[in-house]
Amino acid sequence: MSLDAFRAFVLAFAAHAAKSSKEDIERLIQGSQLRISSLDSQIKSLVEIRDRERACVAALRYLISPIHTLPVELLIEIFKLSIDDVTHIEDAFRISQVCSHWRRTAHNSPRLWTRPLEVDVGKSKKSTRAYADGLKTWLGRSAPLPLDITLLLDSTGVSRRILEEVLRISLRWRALLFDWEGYEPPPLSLVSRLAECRLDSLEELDLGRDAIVRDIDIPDLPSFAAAPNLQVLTICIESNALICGMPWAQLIYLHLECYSSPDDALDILAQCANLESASIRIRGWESDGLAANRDMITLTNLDDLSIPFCGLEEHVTPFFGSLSAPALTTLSLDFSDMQGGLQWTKAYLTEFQLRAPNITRLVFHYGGLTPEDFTTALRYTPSLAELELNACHYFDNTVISALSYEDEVKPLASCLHHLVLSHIHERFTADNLAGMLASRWWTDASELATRLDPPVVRWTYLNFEGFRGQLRDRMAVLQREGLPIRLK
Amino acid sequence: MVLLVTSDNEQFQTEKDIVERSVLIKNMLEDVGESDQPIPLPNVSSSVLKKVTQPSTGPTEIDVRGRYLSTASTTVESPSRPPILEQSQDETRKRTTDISEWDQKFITVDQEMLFEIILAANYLDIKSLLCRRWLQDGSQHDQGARPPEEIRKLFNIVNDFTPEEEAQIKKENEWAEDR
Repeated sequence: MSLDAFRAFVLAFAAHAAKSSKEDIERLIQGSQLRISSLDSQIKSLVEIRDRERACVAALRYLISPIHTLPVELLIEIFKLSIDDVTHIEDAFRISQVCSHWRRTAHNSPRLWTRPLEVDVGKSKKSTRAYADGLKTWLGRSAPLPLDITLLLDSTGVSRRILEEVLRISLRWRALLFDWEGYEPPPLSLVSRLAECRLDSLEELDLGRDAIVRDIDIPDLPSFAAAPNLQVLTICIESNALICGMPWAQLIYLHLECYSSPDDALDILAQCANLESASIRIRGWESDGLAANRDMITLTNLDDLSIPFCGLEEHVTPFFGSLSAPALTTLSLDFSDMQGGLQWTKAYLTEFQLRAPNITRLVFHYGGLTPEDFTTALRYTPSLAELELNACHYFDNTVISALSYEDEVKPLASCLHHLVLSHIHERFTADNLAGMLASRWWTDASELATRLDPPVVRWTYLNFEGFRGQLRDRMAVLQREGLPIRLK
Repeated sequence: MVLLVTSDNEQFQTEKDIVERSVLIKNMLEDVGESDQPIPLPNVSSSVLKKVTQPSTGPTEIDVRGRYLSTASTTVESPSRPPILEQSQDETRKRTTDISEWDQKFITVDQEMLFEIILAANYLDIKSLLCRRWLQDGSQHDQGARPPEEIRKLFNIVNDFTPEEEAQIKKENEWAEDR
């Protein structure tokens, strides 16, 4: 009915009704209201039927839609690829909240729920109960696969409820880490609880870069020695009275921050016969002879050794006196955290280098060595291929001369082809460095022309940071001549 | 060159380094050795193989590449490369700009082909073609998954959760937000 026709109908109806009595009009109103109710009810039913039909159409469309025809394995693979490491919790939830089919598929795919998880075990949350419940649900979805868990600690203490949920899946911990940055160091009570668990899957344990805090008195220190697969350990010790039991012999990677006696670090290393890589932060000794009477520690498989020295004690080279690493290829020494001077006894390092003849990469950060000490260190690294120096002011003209290839005499470190120099005070001239670099460089064409095996290896990588003025200009010239130089 | 034969019996001469991105074909070539024999691909049609192995030639092709391989962008100026040769995700991210409007248009326009390519990628075992971005929000830098409502809309999926499931989902989301 058009608007005009509707208006005419209402006017005619009103004109007719105007002649009726009040009671008749009220009857007419009642009759109309009844008809309106009936119509409302019919409309509601029709709307429901329409919505149901719409839902049917959508469901039927979905059944024949391409996405529904994807094999489940492929769908899972795409789900997996759609989950980003940073937003993995939101992503996994979003995917599982699309429809019941996707939800079932996601919930039946434990590997979608196994990205490394940070668990805040502190009590500062609005509701630890809700957090623990949510955590339980999340952790349950990854079963039976192993998980990497990082525990975040704060000054509010550890929530028992949340910790229980973490402990409940201890059999599935693949990695257990403490986030120390900006948080509290691990308390002994917590470490003890962790150590009491069955740790069949644990491969990596990171107890943080701060020493364990003794918050309870217990007769025996916690021990992780029964973790059958533990191979990677990060631990900090400040006292030999607080060293947890560890399966030292099965470790292949050790990050040790030792702020107690350096002998404690050596005692630990003596038990780590299978290490392949180690980073040992260690103090020095007060005098040279203190480590002299130790038995030799042989680390047969050690490939990579990094030693950041720290503390006030000046005698650090004795560390090498009782160490043997025949398979070592990388040695990194960092003196930047030493608060006193440096007493360098060449013989200790030289003898160590004789026991480690396969070193190909040396890294030095800072340190008060003399150019002669440094030259000796290079001389006893016969296979040296890569050298990285940061703030090493002993890299001077004499060292550069020893590295120069002149008059067909084999220079120092003749296999060296990778050199990184960062922030080095210029105790050398630009001419000397440029000359040395040029002496160990030639083009493919000139190599073909001479048809001789060169006695030195040609540069493959040169990276210089902090060079200024004339020095930088000279390096830029060499760069244009084809040397593989990067200037920062 | 390698001769490939598709399910609709078309033959394609393709460079070996291109086809070897497919683990399936690479293994076949290793098993057979140097040979002029054609390699049959009974689960891949010629139209799909064209998309996978040939450089883009027009807007549709570029759309398909971008959508599946998460590399195409309105600002890409580098010469076209076959999708099969596309590079890592890191490289991808550097070159990708906001393409969500375009994404939406593409997905609604050409879903059949999208899924055919996904199936072919799975059959040929080409990980780089099993694109991750088709469930992800192209407008977001963090590349998180699209919200469920958006995924439903894009792929005609019905929200068929029970009230109990809806309640569970609400709890999940609250937990994720409070973390």
